[in-house]
Amino acid sequence: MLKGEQQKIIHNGANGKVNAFITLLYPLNKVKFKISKSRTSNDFVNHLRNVKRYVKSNRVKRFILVIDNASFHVSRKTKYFLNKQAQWLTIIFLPKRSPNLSPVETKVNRNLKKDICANHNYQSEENLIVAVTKYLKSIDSWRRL
Amino acid sequence: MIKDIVINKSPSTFGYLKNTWSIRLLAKHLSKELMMNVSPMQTWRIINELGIKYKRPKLALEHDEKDYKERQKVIDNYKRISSALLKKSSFRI
Repeated sequence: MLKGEQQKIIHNGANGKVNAFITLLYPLNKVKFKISKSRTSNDFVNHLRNVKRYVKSNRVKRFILVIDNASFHVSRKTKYFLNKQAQWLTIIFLPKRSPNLSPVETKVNRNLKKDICANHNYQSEENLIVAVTKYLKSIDSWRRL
Repeated sequence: MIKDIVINKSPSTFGYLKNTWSIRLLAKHLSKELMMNVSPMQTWRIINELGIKYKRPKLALEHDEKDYKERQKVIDNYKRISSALLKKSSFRI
């Protein structure tokens, strides 16, 4: 902006929220994601089923998943599901309060928030979902991870 | 042209997946538009000459009440004359 001026973002005072479960397939720099309105164990398990489909179709022998200690990652329902997937899945939990150790946090989530969510008012949740989906689909071509 | 792009338009209108302009993105856009290589350093120089500064946008509430402006006028009027009213009341005491 010009000196002495400031851009105004007009909004109606009510904030909506959309949750995205994002898994970064690390050496490939591809992203698997699922967008949902709630953030429960069931949503996380549904996301893992998507990942499982990808793993089975690409014939990956072993998939190592690094996750943090969010409540829906360590819940009884999720643990029950994860124990059943032991033949193809290995889980590593991050230490408490250390998001700097996980690459998805520093490489995807930070840029997603900076580029898409910050400094903009989306009129509806659907518009936000469209923008986030577009960004995550093109992330491997858009930015060097 | 650059002033109009940077101040009035968001990068998302040109199809970029960003909401704010950066020097590197603007250089990329200009070199695409002008069909010649424009470096980020040169873009920075142009922007400095135009007097454009980096600034974080500010959130502003949109009021949908019908009589908002009238009520704002009444409050502004009281703000204006409050010092005079205070002087009057102190005289009475």
